[in-house]
Amino acid sequence: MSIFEYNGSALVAMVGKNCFAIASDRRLGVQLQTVATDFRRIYRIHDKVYIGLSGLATDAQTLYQRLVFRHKLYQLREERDMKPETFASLVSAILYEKRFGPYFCQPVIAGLGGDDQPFICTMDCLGAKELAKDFVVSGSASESLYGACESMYKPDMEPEELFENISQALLASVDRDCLSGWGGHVFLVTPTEVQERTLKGRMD
Amino acid sequence: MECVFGLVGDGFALIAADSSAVNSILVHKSNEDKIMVLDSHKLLGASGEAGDRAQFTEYIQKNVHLYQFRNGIPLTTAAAANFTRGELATALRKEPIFCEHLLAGYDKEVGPSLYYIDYIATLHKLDKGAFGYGSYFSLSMMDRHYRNRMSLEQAIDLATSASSRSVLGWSSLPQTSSSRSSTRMERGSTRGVNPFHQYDGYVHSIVS
Repeated sequence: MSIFEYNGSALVAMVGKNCFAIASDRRLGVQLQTVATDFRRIYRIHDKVYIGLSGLATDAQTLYQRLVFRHKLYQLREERDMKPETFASLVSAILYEKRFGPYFCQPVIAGLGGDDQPFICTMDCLGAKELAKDFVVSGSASESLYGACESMYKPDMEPEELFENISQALLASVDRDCLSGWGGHVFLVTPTEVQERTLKGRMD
Repeated sequence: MECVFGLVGDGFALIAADSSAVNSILVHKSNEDKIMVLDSHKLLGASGEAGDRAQFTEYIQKNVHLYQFRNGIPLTTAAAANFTRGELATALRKEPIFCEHLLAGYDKEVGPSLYYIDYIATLHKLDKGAFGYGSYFSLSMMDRHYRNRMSLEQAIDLATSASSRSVLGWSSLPQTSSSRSSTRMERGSTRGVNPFHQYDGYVHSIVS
């Protein structure tokens, strides 16, 4: 089994009309055994930038700690929050530093940039960025997620419709992957507020 | 082949571990204590490679004591768990420590808590957790019988039944009475009557 599938994960981010949603599953496993069903994969960097980390959970936790550290330093020096594009470049650089001994994570970054335009991107474990205008996926369920998102996505969705679509795409995809599931977490971010919701799916 | 598990109950956190130290067919010791007492309100139950287990848990214990000596106040359970995780994570890409941990603690503000720390430094706060081959039995038993805010007696019953099918488990644990008047470690062991169950179990619990 690949090291990226050791803990099992599913992550997706979608762009809507002046908003974005980022969703993850909740399972933490050790190969075939489920250890926890309330594991958080999506972390808040600041109100308008969220990062989801799929792959090996220990590297996701280490990487998150390093990123929070770097962002806090940035806030002290620049006296403002990082833009999502800048943050994505930071993540890419930190991952590439470990080119020959990488963190086994695939981040999904979602944020509201200048003029509150939604920004999403994903990258592989070495920091190769992939920007997208519609949706990005990552994790052991990524193949199913690609299919589900491709069929469910529409441009310029309002927040409620975006939430509905991303939830359906996530739940449908994790049902086809034995290593992810046990519900979902969805963050729906608009320029004025952040809504965090928990989904109940098939608990198996 | 080992069996370590823990759970959080009403005002207490409990860790149970088997007491075998084996090397393939040789039994080195059948009364090995795998639960390290970090301080008056913290326990670190560990399972894995024997040398790493003994050495690493003692290292964590001494560092917890050092913090208390330097700062005059004890570490919180969350801080101790994150410290343990940090040490494992730093060692992971140099000389990995092949030992998995359950850290149980009681804090006045937070109450009882249990942290699961993998050998590759995955940290997660849980209500019930288990390691080793015994986890295949104990996790299912705990899924079925665990309730929020169990009493200590119910938890010890659960600990007894959760390990009775494992070859290195135990078939009975002592009846302990607990009073809530002060912080207390309880520890008991008994030999099972079944000749195949020759190992003791150690149960430590931190009572508020």
